[in-house]
Amino acid sequence: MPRTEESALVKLAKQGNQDAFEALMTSYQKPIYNLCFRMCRNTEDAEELTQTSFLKAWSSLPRFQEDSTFFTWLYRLATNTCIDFLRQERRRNTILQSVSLEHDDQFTAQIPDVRYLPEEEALKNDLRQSLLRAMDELSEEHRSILLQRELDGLSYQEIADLLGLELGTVKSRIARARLALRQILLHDGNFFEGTASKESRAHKGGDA
Amino acid sequence: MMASCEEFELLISLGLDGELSSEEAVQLQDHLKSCPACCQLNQELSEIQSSISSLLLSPPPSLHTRIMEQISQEAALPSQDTKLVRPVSFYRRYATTAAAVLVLVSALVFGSKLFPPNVVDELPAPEAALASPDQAQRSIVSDAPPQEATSTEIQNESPSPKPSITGKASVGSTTPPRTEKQLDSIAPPMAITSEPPPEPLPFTKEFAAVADTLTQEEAETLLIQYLVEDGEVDPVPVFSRLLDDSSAYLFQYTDSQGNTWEYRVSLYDGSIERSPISNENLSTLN
Repeated sequence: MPRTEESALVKLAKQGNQDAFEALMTSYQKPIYNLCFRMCRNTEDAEELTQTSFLKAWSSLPRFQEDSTFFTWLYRLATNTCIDFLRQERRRNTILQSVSLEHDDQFTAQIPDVRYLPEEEALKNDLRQSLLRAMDELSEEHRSILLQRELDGLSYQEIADLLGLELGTVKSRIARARLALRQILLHDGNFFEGTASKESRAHKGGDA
Repeated sequence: MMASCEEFELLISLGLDGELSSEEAVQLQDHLKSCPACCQLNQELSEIQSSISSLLLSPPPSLHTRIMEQISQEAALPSQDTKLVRPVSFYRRYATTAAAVLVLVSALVFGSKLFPPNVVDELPAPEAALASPDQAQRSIVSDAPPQEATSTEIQNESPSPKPSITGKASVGSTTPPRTEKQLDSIAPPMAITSEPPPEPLPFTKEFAAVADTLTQEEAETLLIQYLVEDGEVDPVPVFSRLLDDSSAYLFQYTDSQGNTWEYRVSLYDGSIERSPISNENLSTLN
């Protein structure tokens, strides 16, 4: 959504306009849901936390100073909601100690049982598994910033605001994260097998 | 496999996010034409990017509905049937008692289960609601009052920010609640949810969510009413501008004692604050 359109919606929503808020919620429901899922690692809690986050956003919105983007504000709000939930409920002992904004946990929870997938799904799932495994191998810093960019859809500036980093640092860190992930996937061997780049690599095999 | 060119790795990454300047884009484009290794890298990173996106889960459609339902409910509390359309100053009249009660009750009802103690966001404090001055007393917030003024916020006592609704503007009136039902229908969304914030909030902002915002004309009318109540004869405030954050109108007015003030009339609830303007700062007047 273009920024000017969004700030008009935010202003309306701040005044209590539910339709405007609904439009905002529609834009950001998916990334927030995925964020909550990553933190609590099950869809049931993710739904509840998404709901809670948007309700809190609705009631806190009049106090949103607009000194960051709406999404940054919402993102922080949702993250804090999840952190508090995890600490209070103590459902995940292993992540309880180190839950923070920069900590993104393993994605492995969402790998479905391969036996019951149709073949095309199974192939897609192989790629997915490779990717998930590789992401687990990344350093926390790299994995976290990559997920924030690729999954959460945060802009470079929003990431810089959230993490308190310089914009240049964000850019280079993301680039390095991508390169590191690619290295891991190349070693894995399976990932690029099923993708188009295999063709060009085979073709250029003699050039190396 | 050939090594890619280190200096272009960053550009390739920026390109994936659409963050290249047009100059950089051309630079990269040219390079990719002639460098198979970088071309390969670009391709592979692009594939990784698509794969990661495919990891995104979709929330169930019911979630959207549930969220909006709950928001509608909260906005309509406590009376579910009628939509909340009353002008905000109406709420202010009862805010000190009713809202304080509502906040305290909801804090007990909704409690810490949903909103654990170390929530970062600020929610209205019961103390803020209770801290409001006696309804009967009107006074102004001033930065450096030339005369002795109490430093409590002005309460706009008019029954409506739109004079046309009530037919008259009775700033400063203290008529008691009209009916029980009206008393109950105060429900700004923030007052419902639980948790006291770390620091108390200015009283006026609590009702921003339910207010119809004021037009400049209405703000001017309110200000004139206020000035008349204050003893000014036929005051003519001069409109300055709208605040950058669109939260208030600014007016200038020189009172009968020759002091010039800048008045800020909130768009949301018609509350009025003022600060003195020194003679050097006078711009539109004189």
